Amino acid sequence: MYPLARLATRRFLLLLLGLWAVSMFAFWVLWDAQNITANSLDDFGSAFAGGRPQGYFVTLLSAYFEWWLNFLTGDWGFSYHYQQSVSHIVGTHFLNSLLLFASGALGMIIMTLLVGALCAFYQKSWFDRLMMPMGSLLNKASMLLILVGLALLTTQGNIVSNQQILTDDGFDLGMLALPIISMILFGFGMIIYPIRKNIEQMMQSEYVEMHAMKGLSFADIILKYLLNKILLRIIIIMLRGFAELFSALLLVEIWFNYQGLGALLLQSALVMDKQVLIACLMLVSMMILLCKYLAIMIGYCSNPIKFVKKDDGKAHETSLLRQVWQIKE
Amino acid sequence: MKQAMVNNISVEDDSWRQPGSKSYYWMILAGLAIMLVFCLIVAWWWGSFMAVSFSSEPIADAGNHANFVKPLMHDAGKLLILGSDHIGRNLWLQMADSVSRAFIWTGLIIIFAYVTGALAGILAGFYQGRLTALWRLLNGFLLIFPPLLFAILFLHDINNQSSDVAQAWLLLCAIALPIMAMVLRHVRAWTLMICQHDFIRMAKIRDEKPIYIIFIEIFPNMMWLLLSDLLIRYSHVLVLLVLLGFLGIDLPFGLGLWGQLIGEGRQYLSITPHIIIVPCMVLISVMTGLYLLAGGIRRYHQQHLRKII
Repeated sequence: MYPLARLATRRFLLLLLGLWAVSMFAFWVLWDAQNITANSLDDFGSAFAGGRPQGYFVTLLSAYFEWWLNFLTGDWGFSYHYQQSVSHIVGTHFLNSLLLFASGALGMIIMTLLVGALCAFYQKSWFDRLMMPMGSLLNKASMLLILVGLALLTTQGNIVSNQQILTDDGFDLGMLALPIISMILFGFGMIIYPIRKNIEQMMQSEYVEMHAMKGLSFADIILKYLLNKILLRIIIIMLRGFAELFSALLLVEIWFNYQGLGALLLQSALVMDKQVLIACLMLVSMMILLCKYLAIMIGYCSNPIKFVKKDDGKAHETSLLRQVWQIKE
Repeated sequence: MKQAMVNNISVEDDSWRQPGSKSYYWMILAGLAIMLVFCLIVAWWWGSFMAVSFSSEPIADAGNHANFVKPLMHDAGKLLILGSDHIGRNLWLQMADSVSRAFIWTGLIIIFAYVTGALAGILAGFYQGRLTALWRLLNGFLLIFPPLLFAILFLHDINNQSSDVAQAWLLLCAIALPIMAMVLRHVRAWTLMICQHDFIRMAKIRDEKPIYIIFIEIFPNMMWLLLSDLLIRYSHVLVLLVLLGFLGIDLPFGLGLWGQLIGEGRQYLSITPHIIIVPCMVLISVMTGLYLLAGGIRRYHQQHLRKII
């Protein structure tokens, strides 16, 4: 467990370092300097005059630490544009985005699993020859082109107003169909090719070939022996590509006028509401860094290449996944 | 079905990798696709020889749906091949103007990103040590955000900058820095792979200068891969500029026009879809051409050049 603990600790420290860097960037670049008195650059020279720090530099530092303290305790400030507390605005928009992203992610996983498995099992069939170029096309096309294509193909090309999705009784799930389909198509294009390759490699392993020759059906092989590994691979790829998925989510929210976190971030940037923008930035960067961290940890734990562990001076092989989950092979 | 499953478990068919198979048709297709876009710009220049309207004046009653000019319709006796946009401006003129600006600025951004990123990557790969660790840390920070988010954060307030030079530098840094980080990572990995070969060790034993080893021994072996990667990133930056215009970021130097056409055209999608179809078709054409060209260069490299990477 020592290499795992070392990797986890190192990566977690890098995550904290990344968050700190983002906070410095957000605060320094985006904070309104007029909120701080004496913002002249000359004050840098007199920052430590008389043995006591003062001036612009100090005021900025103290404002920065005060902001961090408030951020950690949940006080994210007040938005003068929206006339609400920032935590309330960000919370509601975050939940909207979470609903859309979770629905899209579920669809991505199911579609990629089914299509990837079918393409890998029936290689060079008409289905494989149709799906792989389509996935490649969706991967190379920007989310904007996918949205335009969907809008031209369906009758709902016009903007869907927020009121149609978010009614007084809750969500109108029917109106969420197109945004979810857009996310699924984008994610499908991103994930399908590596997943198909992974399934192909898994199928070339001896135990799968043995089960196939014994007469097990395609569904049995997938469900009993390959499903957990394929799901792990899909989740790792999605976690690693979370930044791209968030960019796609932003575009979907703008296109369908859906009040999610991405739309809030863009709107706050355009109206220069820096309180909300910094809060959104911190939240998004936390999610991206956390997803990358989880992807590394899950990938390390599920690595099929066994790692060597020394015990009593003798090296022997052990699989962490087998120890933790007792997967049968 | 069981037999089919057993028979279908096969190795990947890589016959296209065999020497002798022609891969230049990719380049020809790429050239044709890109030519379609350049015809758009060239036609604007020699439009005076054609009975085609290139007037930039909006037609009367601009904004009224009934006065939209659809493609291949006449306006005041002249033919509008691509029709007009939602306020009556000649769409061909708008597209030619926006595409030419986007091409020039994308080229500048890509050159800046690749020169700095490739140089930094080669140095990081050649001189390994604490400097490399520092480079990787900085690289990691730059890659926290996706390029779109990075650009939004830097450019949402760009028009408040006092001078054109400041705006140009801000635009360059906002878009080029994430690209530079990605290029640095790739080039560093390629440099590490190349430095493992004997000819690099021999060059070091001969006491060759580092600048000789970098530019004569290392760089030529990754040149074609770098070119292929550059073409793909060029299309990514082009799409990024279109996206920023679509999202309403007021880019300087008229760079947001392409995206604004798409953003404004989607409101009239059911009435006059050509306003959004034309910019998207141009974008698809450019992306297709660049991807095909990059694919052709990569196949040329794999088939005909000595494989170091």
